[in-house]
Amino acid sequence: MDFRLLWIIIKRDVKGSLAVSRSGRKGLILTALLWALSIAMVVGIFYGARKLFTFTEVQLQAFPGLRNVLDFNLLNVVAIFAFVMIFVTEMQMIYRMLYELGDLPFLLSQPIPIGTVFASKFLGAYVQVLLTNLMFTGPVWVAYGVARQAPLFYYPVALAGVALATLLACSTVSLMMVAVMGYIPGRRMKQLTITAGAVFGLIVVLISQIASRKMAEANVLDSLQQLGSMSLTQLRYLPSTWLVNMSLGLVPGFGVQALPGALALAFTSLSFTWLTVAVAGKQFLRGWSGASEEGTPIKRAGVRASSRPGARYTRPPLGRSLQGVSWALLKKDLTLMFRDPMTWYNLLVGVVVLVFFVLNVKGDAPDTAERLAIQRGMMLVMPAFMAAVSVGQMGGVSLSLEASRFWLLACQPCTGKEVFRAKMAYAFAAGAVLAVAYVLGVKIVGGVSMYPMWLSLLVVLTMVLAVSAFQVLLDSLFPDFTLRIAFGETKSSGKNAGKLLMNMLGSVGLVAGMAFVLLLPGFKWASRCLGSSALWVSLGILLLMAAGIFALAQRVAASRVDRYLTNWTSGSGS
Amino acid sequence: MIRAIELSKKYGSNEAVKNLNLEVKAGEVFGFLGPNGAGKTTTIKMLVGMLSPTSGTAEICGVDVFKYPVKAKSLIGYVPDSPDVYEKLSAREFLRFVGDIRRIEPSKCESRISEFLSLFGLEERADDLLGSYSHGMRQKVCIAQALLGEPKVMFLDEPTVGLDPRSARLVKDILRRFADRGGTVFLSTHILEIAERMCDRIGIIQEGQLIAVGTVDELRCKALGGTDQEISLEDLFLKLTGGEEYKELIKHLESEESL
Ligand SMILES: Nc1ncnc2c1ncn2[C@@H]1O[C@H](COP(=O)(O)OP(=O)(O)OP(=O)(O)O)[C@@H](O)[C@H]1O
Ligand SMILES: [Mg+2]
Repeated sequence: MDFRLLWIIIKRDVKGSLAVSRSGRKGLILTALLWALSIAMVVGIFYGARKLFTFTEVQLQAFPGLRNVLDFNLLNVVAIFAFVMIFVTEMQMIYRMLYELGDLPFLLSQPIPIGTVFASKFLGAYVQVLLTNLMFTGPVWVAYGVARQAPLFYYPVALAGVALATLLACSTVSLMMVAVMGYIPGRRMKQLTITAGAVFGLIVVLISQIASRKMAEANVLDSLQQLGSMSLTQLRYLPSTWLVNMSLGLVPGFGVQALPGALALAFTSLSFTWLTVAVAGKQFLRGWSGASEEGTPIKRAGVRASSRPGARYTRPPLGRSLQGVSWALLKKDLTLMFRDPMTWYNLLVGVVVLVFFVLNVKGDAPDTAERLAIQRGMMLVMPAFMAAVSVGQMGGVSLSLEASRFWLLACQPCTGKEVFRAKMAYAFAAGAVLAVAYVLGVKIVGGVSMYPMWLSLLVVLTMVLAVSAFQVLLDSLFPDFTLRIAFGETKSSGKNAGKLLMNMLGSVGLVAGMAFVLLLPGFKWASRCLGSSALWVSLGILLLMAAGIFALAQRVAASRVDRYLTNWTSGSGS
Repeated sequence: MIRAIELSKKYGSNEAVKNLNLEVKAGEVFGFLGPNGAGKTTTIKMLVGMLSPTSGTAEICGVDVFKYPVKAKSLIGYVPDSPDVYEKLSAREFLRFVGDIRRIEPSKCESRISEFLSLFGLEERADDLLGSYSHGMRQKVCIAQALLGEPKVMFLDEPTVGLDPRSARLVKDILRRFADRGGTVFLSTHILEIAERMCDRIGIIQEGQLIAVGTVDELRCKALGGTDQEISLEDLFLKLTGGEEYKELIKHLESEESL
């Protein structure tokens, strides 16, 4: 490890990332939009959390022990949420930062110790993950401190705790990647192992969450009898508990000790980081070489068949009628999607989350018509929400992903409208499959009342359609043609976390808006004004919204794409 | 076939191409020469219709490139200066994709693909992902892609960069034959041998301005003011683009070396 060189690399990375945000008017708009959305989200989370903590404070004034258990649990969930986020959304970012940054060939060709190169990339990945985590969970910790009037010292300690816990998760994930990339032979095997490892990690985290909830449920009854005496010690082995204890130790009236948690957290995260860097110093180069290696031919058997002279062309399954630009593009995008290991990783994560969602959905039969409407609506909002996130990650970057290959479209006889339709179909396909799977899953397994099947599917697909159109629109307005997301593609530029985040926030915002419409029959005033037709009114508004967004997106996005097709200043995208 | 009328492009305050007027006829191979950063790539992109000019127009077979881009592009085959391709598609899939976009009849498309793949010696690797291809192999795929749609006009930006001598020869032969059958070829190159042997006419661009157009012999005559002196194209190029200063520079370097 050479700290002087490390400092030089980091300094350049920081300068580079600052330069990006200064580029052009569009860059400024994008940055401003991102900041506005982020701030809105942070403030929203803060107020929500503070309200919740004040509410429990007031409600449980007479039972401080019970309140403490509840606090402990809430914060534990927040800590675990941060870990889950790392497995669900940050995995690919870490991989990209470690193995695919465009400057790696340059750095590795310089007289710099491999461990130092790795450390600089690891640090970059860690800072990004930490910032994202702080955006989501930071406001909750602050809100807690404010609601409980914690001493000033609580805030830096909580911050340090989150930083250490993130470091622990980051280094665990990186250690696994470095080890797999270095020791497991073959590209396919590497990807498979990383995917399996991450999904396993996700499952462990989810199970530990359920376990801690179960224990805490038992504790609630206990503590009702013996107020003040908590038996949270059973959870001592969980890193999330260390984090919570470390911070709660500083809140008055809490009987836990901060020091053991802090020590345990600091010790494990620092030693894991050290181990990661040490292993990387030996294994990073080998893993990196393997990462850029392209796989053996796909479908060996099929290859021989199709290259045999006189082999007939097999028509696309939907026949000649679908030949043409949009169809060709869609086919290409779907092929690329299925070749991208990230798709399979996301699919697996999706299945795990789906299973947990379906198994944990239960509801008592609501007593009023409004409550029933809310419950039924929520059963559709959740799938739409999950689908929206993946639409944002796939359709929301589908145009940007053409990246340096955009010349090919620009020199072909195709129109912006055709390109828009293809991207739209791609985004919609990805989201629709997911949403339908969720609805069917809940319908079959879950024990809750739902709208009739056809209505449920209609509503969910309408929402996915709107989100898809919106995402393609966003991508056409703010494309980033330097974006690379897939595993194993070279020339990456690692500044796309912001764009993905914006896509996600955009999706979530839109779904929230539509959820409001969908839940209309659940509001007293609405059901009083509209009576039993409230559902149909809200459905009508929903359909109109989706049609409007689609029409707008098609108009604007098509003309934007037309502009790119006839004025392609390579790569800069401005 | 190709016409540029007062074509100009500014990047900010940098004038990359200034009032370019040019005409290339059917059956002609036109070579575009010039120092680095002279505006060759910029010109080609504008003629292809993928970069809009600051002013001026261009026509391909009488079709205004900027008014009817789709119509014009259906007449054009283009090979970019760097062969960026979808790394997760195989060569065959990549070519099929282009064939689909250009609405080539599937069975015809297949036979043309096989033809090109074997022509470029890629049939063994045709079903490997393009990510595993070398630079030269990708270049060949890009050239095949441009030829696939049976264009009337081919634009090639430094087509032989990265190709081995045998493949470079193959590409030259293919382009010559394409022109002999009535197609038009517009290529930029730094290889003077290509310009001299293969191109019917050449144009030299410097700092965005077309400073000379004509056959190599015409340019020689012009540069030497009618004297019947033998001069290599390299010297001619240096003379036209003000390369005399390089000689000074080289002398200077040599004198430093001897110190
Ligand atoms: N996207 C761009 N943004 C700003 N300026 C550009 C851009 N592309 C090219 N230029 C500028 O336009 C001018 C001409 O560039 P061009 O790429 O056409 O040169 P070229 O003749 O193809 O050079 P080379 O022989 O190196 O390929 C250069 O001064 C270059 O800096
Ligand atoms: Mg060039």
